[in-house]
Amino acid sequence: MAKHNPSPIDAYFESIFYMFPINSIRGTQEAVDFYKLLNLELDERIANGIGPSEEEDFRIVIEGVPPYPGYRSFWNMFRKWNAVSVAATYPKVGGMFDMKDLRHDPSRPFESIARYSIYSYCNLSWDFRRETIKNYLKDFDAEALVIHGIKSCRSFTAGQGDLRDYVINDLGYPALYVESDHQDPRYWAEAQILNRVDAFFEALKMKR
Amino acid sequence: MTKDKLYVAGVDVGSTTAKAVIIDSEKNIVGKSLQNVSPRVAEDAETAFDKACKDAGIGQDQVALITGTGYGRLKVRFGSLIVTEISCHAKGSQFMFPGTRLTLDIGGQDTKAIRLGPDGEIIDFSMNDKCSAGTGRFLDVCADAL
Repeated sequence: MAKHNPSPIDAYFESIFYMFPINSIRGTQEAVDFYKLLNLELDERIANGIGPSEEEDFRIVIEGVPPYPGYRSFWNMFRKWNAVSVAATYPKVGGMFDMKDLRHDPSRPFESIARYSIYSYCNLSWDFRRETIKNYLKDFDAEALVIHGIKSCRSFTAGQGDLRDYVINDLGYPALYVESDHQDPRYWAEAQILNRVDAFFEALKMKR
Repeated sequence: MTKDKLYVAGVDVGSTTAKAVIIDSEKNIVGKSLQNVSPRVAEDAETAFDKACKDAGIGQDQVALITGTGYGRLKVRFGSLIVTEISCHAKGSQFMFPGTRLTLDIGGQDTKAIRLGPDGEIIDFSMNDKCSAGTGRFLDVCADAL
């Protein structure tokens, strides 16, 4: 869906809202109905050229766990620049079912969920994660990567500094790293994060 | 200063000091000010600008464009442009020293390393995060203690 230009969905900030059914009521008719309805909504947005912001000035990929203590503020930092996440890794934590071997099997729900959990995104190797992000940048026509690291989940966050270097030096895309926490508001330093986000988009704009 | 000349100004309200600079149309610095910031950041921005205008011997109405920057940039409410200090330092270092490829800014709150391309564009930047040892304020305090 987000390969459309403009993208009909913010694949990070908006998709995180849509993770609940796949995490909590996976395999049920309610979950199926929810995603059917979401698909209809997105089809309609595409037909009418509607995106999550009025203009789409920047297409970005976002990697990392969201900062819930400052979620709205963090989203607004990107909205201000008309920056839309066209692909993201975190919303796939609940179900990376675009991988062919990880489809949910409703006839064996518990085995299926257990199998998936073993191969959840943050349990996968950095080779796989780097390749996934490389493909997202290319396939979704994004121009930069934004990484949000958190203090309270090392399995997701450890290695993101190297990821940033890889994306900048090996792939040639700009990348921003900001850090706070998933739940602990003491790590949410809004002015510092805003400064980095603003400077990042100013730099992207300057290059055009 | 003649009354019909036009000027531009930059007001940098940082975490520890507020600075303002007035530049004329020939790109000469004709006025400046520097002061510590208080909890009333918006007032500090106004005072810094006012002092710089007085230093330049011009009226505030002669300043055609004002750019606000620094952590308090959103409090420079009279500014026409609001830009982060990272972009300002990139522009400023290219202006002062053409060909600059790396700029280090030791600010009160954080230290920034800004990598520049051949045309002065920002290639990348990084900053200290939650470590006091990366702050200019830490250096101030240590210098006083020593």
